[in-house]
Amino acid sequence: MSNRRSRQSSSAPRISDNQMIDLVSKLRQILPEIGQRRRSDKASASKVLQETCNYIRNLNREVDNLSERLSQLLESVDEDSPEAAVIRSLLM
Amino acid sequence: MEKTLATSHTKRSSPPSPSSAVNTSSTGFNRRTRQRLSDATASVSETDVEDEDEDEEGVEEKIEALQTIVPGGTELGVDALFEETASYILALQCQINAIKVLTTFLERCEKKDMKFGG
Repeated sequence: MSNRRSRQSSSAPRISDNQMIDLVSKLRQILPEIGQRRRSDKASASKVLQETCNYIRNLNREVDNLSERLSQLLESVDEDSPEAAVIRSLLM
Repeated sequence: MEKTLATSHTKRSSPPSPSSAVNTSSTGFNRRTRQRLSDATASVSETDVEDEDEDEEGVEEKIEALQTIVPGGTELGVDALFEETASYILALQCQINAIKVLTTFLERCEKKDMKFGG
C-alpha cells in the first residue's frame, strides 16, 4: 500500500553482493528451515529476508497470544495462595 | 494443552512469472492453523523486468520491511540492521520460552485448585 517501489530508495541503502552473502550466512544460523534450501545467492537472500520478516511477525503474534493467556491465568490465581507467593518470588 | 507452531509455513500463492529466477517451490506441509494478516509487504511485481533488477529490488523492499518490524531498525545501516535482527529474534524466542514456563506453571496450579475444590 504505502510501500513505494523505486530503484533508488533512500531509506534502504543498496547492498553489495558480499554483504548479501554475509547476510544469508548469518540468517541461516537463526532460521534452520531456510538453511536446507540451496539456491542462488540473490534469490536466496530475497527468500531469507522474506522468511525473516514472517518469522518475526509470527514471534510477535505468539508473544501476544501467550501474554494474553498469561494475564488470564494471573487473574484467576488467588492472591493469598502459595502459587502467588511463588510467582512473586520469581518476578522480584 | 493447545500447541502452537512457532513458524507457520503458509506461503502466499503468487502467479507464476516465467521470467523471474525466484521460483516459489511449494512444500508439502501446508497447514494453516491461523489466518495470517497480510501486511503491506512482499508485493509480487507483475511488470516484466530483468531477473537481476527484480532480485535486487525485491531484496531492498524486504530490507525496508525488515527495518519497520525491528525496533529501531529504520535508523540502522544494512550490517547493523542484520545484527539487530538476529538479536531481536533471539530476544523474542527467550521471551516466548519465559512466558510458556509461567503459563505452564499457572495452568498446573489451576488444575490443582480445581482438583482440591471438588
